[in-house]
Amino acid sequence: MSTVSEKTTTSKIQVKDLRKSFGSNEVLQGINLDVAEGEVVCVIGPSGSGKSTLLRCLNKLEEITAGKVVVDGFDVTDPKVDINEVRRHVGMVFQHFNLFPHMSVAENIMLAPVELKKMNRTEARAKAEELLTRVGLSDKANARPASLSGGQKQRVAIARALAMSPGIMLFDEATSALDPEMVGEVLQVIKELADSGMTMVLVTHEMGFAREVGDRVVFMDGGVVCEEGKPEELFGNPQQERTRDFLSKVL
Amino acid sequence: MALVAGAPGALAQGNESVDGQTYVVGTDTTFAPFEFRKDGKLTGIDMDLLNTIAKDQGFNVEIRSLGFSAALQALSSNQVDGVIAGMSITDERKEIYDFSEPYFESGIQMAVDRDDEAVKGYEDLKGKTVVAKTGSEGETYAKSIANEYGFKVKSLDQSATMYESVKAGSAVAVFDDYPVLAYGIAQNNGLKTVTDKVPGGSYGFAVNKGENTALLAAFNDGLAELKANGEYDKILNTYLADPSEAVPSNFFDLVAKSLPALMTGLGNTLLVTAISFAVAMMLGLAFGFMKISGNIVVRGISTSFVNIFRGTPLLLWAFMFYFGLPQLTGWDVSIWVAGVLTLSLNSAAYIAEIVRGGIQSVDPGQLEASRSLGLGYGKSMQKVVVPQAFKMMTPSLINQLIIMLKDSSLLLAIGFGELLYQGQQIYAANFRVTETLIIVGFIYFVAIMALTKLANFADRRFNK
Repeated sequence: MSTVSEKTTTSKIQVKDLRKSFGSNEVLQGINLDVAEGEVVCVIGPSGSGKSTLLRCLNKLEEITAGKVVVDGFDVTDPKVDINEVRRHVGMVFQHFNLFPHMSVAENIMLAPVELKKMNRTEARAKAEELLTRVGLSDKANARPASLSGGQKQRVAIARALAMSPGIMLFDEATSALDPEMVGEVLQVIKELADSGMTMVLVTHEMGFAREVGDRVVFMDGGVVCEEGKPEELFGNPQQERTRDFLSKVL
Repeated sequence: MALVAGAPGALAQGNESVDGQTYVVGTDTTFAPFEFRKDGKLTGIDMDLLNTIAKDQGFNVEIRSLGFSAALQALSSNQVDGVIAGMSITDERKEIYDFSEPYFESGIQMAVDRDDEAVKGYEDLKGKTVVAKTGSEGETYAKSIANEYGFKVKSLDQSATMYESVKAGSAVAVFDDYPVLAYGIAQNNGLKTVTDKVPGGSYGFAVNKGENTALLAAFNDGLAELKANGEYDKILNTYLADPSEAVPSNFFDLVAKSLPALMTGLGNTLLVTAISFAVAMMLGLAFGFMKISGNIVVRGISTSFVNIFRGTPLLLWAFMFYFGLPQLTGWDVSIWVAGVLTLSLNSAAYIAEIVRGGIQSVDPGQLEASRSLGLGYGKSMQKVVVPQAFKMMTPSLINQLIIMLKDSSLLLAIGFGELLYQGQQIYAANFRVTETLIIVGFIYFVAIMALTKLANFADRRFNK
């Protein structure tokens, strides 16, 4: 990948030789990854392969040990970068939703636009209602998160991540904590988002979904990218032994 | 009687005459029967003598009830002109003060329970325990004969508690100043004297050496006059009369009479608690956040603070701030400042731990979610983490507030006029210890119940 610098204009995310250690345990051992504008990349792999850590390094929820990460034109690894500014361009959805329980659904969504002075409360409220309609929860604006089902919570979390109109969305096992019957409604929302041209990186265990929405699938194992390619290639004709081994267990 | 109103006369005569002058005189807070509060008004032998002498000699007095040591300090710094406080005339004191003629001959006497027929003299004390006041002449005397008669001396620091201990049977006899004993018996404290008075010190009125000579002379003249015309004996008899004449009032009279002073005490208790809790919350929040800081120095400062104030008794800090700090620094530390410092620093140590625990109990995912939206650490704490932590901390904070309100009673040790202190002042004068404590306890209970209800209501209201 000697052409990283040339791709700056078209790449939304560039990861160059990313390393991350927790103490003496090196979880990411040199990751290279490029995500083009509008591209949907699904990251799969066994537990402990480092895929969630990779995702969390993209918006610096994890300190980066070594390497370079450029997101939406910002060098995340530059100590002088305003990470809060970067994060406004990157929405993130978590496995456990992490909705704010002391706020209503609408207030969850309004928090960032209002506190970051991007909108006044009226505008933010209108934006929240628009986003809730988009995720099919227009009637839940004044509900408390505790009164929602898991699927509804995750859809609110997606709406909240979209409130600052980010150019990139990160999904960290967004359906793993859901009851099976609720997975579909969340995947539907994510798919609509993908179809709208959003640049997205998804860490997922839903192979069928990865195949359906992914422009590219990345298989990680042991802290390195083992294999990547178009979904039909990677799922249909895996080149690496480890990939075949993994897919035989999950498919 | 020369009650001349003419100011020019007083001015013209200058130091030579006390006529029409106003003198400020310091005294103890409670040393019954010499000075004590009865129905909220300062009274006693010293007060009656001084007022009668002033009237006789034509000068005015303004009394400052300061406490014994404070009164002497005030005299040294010329904040008062004289001190009358049941003060023994000693050679040591004569070096810095000029004393009047002795106005009272004191002495030590032994008393036992009114119904005790077994102890009639020192020889009946073999193998028994007696009580005496810490640092008093009574203690010195009791100890001097303890070996000879084979008894043990236990020291307590208040007359009222000594009498209670004899009535409760934990000691068979008490050695105390005879006027104090006589007054207690006159108040129906349930004791009787069984030995003759052992002559002790005599009490005098004091001024600074070489100053206020006219005042001192007037005091002596007046005293002689009172002794001659029988007023002196009348005043003494008022306080030291036979117990049969004292009519005990019932419990509700006691409640009615003590309530004004106790309400003042309750007001001080609530005010010092409120101020201290506000300060403790600010400090506790600061140190609580410092405890979860990533910076090891900041964390270390906070941990040291918590360990120091959680690891040392509250009472020790009360003494340190009120007595130690002024001596170490030369600052004038008021009792309110000392009280608030003591309560708030102690409580802040506990609140810091409550804050730390509350914040750490919030799911880390909450902070991550807020940070991932682009909110900074401070904003995320303020809007997302702290509101949730606060909800979890509230029951512990209410608990801490109640503990502080009760702990404020320890400030009585430095003379802070809170509720229990006022109760002590009352039973030091009337010797009805148990009844007074029941009233004080009831007031604390009601205040704390009301506070708990209020706090829980606020909790439900704001932490839905």
